[in-house]
Amino acid sequence: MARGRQTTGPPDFIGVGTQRSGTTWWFGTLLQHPDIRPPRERRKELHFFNRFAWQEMRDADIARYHQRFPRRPGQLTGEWTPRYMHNFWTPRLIRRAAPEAKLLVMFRDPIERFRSGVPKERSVDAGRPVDAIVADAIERGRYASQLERLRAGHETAQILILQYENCVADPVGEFQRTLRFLGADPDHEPRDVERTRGRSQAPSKKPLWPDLVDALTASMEPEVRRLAAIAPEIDVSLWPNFSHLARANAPAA
Amino acid sequence: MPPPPEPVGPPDYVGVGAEGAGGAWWHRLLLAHPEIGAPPERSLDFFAEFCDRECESADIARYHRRFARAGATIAGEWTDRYMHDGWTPPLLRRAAPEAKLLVMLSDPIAGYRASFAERSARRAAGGRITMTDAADRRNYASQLARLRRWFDPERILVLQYERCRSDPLGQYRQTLRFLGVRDDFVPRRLSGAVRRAEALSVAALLRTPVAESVRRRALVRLTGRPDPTGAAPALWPDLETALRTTFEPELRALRELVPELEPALWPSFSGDGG
Repeated sequence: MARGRQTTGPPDFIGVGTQRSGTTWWFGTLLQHPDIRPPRERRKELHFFNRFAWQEMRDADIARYHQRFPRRPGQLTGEWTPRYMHNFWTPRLIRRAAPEAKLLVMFRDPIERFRSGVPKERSVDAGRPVDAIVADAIERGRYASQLERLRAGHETAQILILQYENCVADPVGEFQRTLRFLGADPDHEPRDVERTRGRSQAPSKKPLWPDLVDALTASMEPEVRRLAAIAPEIDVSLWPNFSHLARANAPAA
Repeated sequence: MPPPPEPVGPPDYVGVGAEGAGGAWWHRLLLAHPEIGAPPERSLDFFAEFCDRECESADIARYHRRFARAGATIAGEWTDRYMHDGWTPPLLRRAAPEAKLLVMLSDPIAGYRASFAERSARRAAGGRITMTDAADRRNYASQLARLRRWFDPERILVLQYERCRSDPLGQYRQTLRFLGVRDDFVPRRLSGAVRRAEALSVAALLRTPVAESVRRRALVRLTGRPDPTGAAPALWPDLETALRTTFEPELRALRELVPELEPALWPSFSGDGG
């Protein structure tokens, strides 16, 4: 158990993506670790950098951000706001506000992410036109572009790439990998990790029609190809909508 | 006996993008041509609803009915969000497989700054406004590559706003040839006298202290853009750097897709070696 005086400072880790990819589950699982604690408000998503699309971030803003992260010696603290990676102005600000922070990214089959993200956004923002929601959901699937932008200001070794489907298949193994990356004791076993994943949203998902599937595939396939090239830890065969890319790249027997 | 119905059918051309790049201005100039016709709306925005439901054959027939030739040789429309709306290219291919597509691009960073100014004003008035899509809409290379999955490059004419401003007649004639109509027509607005008068009006608008909203509306009416010179002020350093980080890979890809593109005409990238 960590003891000693509580201090604040830059977060030790920031989850930066992606929306509707199991990040709430994974953050909640991380918080089960005795040495990992949430921001002061106990919220997963601070959305701190969103406002700096409209105004410059000052040193006083950075100081305010740091105050959100109390911890005692030996503890790690951080937040996870999935849109940070999608908001093009944010990676550079993270670099200024928390240059040593380790970054976490959870990717999921981008078409499944789309199917989950559209109804979710419609439910939380009923006044927003559906075409704006759909266009945004397509853009959020541009994983390779987002990762390249992130890497433009951060070392590759500073970023842990997780794959939702991998975390579902091997939650304990991937959890321990995450803990090792963060520098926490990896021997901690999460409680009932399956239960905390939440219910499947599959029944509420709308079936997609052929034109839309074609359009989504055309938008996302080049990004998935590039992602597989720049992030070899991504196993495309686990993504049902893009597993054909893995077969195409498989070496001949 | 009533006159026979005017022939309708798929559009011969569709302007598909990009947003805020001056396409509406260019389309108005095209519509001055006696052989080119269009529905009365500024843009049809026909395919937006099909992000939420399947586009049926009856919908396509409804689209075709919008294009009566009415004495014009060809008919079309220009909706500059089609290229950005990811679900639209396959629908356009179904609805108008033979259409020629027009794309107008402009300096993405200058466009973002102009969009920032416009959205800031709406935000100050209490609107719930975001900026993420203002960058997304200017990912030209990704959008163009997607469009080419459904349309051959030969069917797509890529224009550059800045070139259309500096050489309007040359670019106008190139557009007419691409569309297959007479290319010796000069619209009144592109005549020397009108262009000189327009240049004076633009210069006056840029230096006269009028309400920003009035200035923007007048400039858009005259030139198709609120910042025809690309002179919207730079934003703060972090944001400007982030914009370059975002758009530089797109610009590299765009130059491969469109070798005739002149990045030197885009002030934000003119120091990049062309």
